[in-house]
Amino acid sequence: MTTELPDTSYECVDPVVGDEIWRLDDPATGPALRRRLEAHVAACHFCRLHRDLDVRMRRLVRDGEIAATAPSAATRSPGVARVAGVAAALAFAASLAGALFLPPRSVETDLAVRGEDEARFTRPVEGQVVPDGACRLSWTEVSGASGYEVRVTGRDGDFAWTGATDRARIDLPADAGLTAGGAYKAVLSTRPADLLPPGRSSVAFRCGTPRDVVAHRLRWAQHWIHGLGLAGLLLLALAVIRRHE
Amino acid sequence: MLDHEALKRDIAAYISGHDAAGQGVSASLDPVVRRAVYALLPEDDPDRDDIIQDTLIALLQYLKASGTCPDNPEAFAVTSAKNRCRNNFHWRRLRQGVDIDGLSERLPSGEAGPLDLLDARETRELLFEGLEAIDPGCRRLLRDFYLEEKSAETLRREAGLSSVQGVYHRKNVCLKKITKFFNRRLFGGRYSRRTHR
Repeated sequence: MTTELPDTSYECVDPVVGDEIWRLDDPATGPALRRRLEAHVAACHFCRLHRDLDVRMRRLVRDGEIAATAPSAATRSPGVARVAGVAAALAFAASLAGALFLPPRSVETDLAVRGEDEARFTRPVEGQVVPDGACRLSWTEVSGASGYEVRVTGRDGDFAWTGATDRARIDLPADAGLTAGGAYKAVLSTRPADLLPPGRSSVAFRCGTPRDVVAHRLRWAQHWIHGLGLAGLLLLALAVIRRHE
Repeated sequence: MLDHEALKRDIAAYISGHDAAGQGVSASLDPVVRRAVYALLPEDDPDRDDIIQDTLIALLQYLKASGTCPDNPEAFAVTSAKNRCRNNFHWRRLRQGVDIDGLSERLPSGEAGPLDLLDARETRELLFEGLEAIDPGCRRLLRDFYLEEKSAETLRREAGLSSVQGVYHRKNVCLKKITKFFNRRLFGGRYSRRTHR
């Protein structure tokens, strides 16, 4: 006949009191509580195991029969877990910073090279969502150009702004009228005008709320930034697994 | 049906020195303890009644020694009985096929602690594994306590804690990890062997 007792371990007979047995170590514990805790340990197999282990381990460690210092293969897990956890945090931080502060990818890759031979916008990139209000546009320099002109128009034809500069960037003032939700197109031309085919160097972009901007940057971050985030996830999973081993 | 009010009255009376009330306590809890033990040990187990008896006596001893009534005396008694059944079961499993005459001094009594069931080598091996299984911070704390015999006040300063109680509590948390490891290995590890009687 097989004994049917399940392979469950000892349980504390009164967990509320059992949680306090550490106070037996504390010389400041009063006599009444000490008496109660000692009685509990005497009656509870789980807590007696706890206390006996303390005594037994102290003796074995002091006698040098077991070492409390030498980590072996089994103890490397927490170390690996910690290193993996730190690496995961760094990877997440780097990927987040990269996504928020580096230019995102173009939404449409075939348009990303628009005007590449002559000039192309580097900021914003094709399809990028920018904050409403002030906005900076920049582009690659065109050899021989003494100045540039940028014309920004709304897709619905309700917005038009033109600015000139002799550098490869220009700032749209906050009062230019870019509004969240609007879709715009910027077209670059040069002085003299024959350095660029008309309308060839252009970029389409949208204005959005800060939330839209962050969402777009996370979605369209450079591939290597996504790879870094994925590496962070894998490292985090490794840390969790090793920690629970 | 257990009369909880009557049980608490009997317990209060027993704690305050009326020994006869102990019979009332035992009588009230006997059926629930019996049910728990009978559910775990087979009908032909010769130790069933001893375990019931030991459990009730241990409860009375606890009441006298602590001077307090557990929040839930019924759960206290039933858990205590189950732990005794586990002790009994575990001891048999460990000693299966061993001539118990030679182990007469180590036969488990109702009061035996779990570690009393293991020999020195088994305890040492399990403790070694338990120490390896915990995190380095805990291992360092226990080493500081056991090996370097640092005072709780020194450890408190080193850990930046506001009270020494925090040190004792942290040590308890670390020890609990080993206790749980030990508990698990005791009943599910390589020392486990199925008993066929």
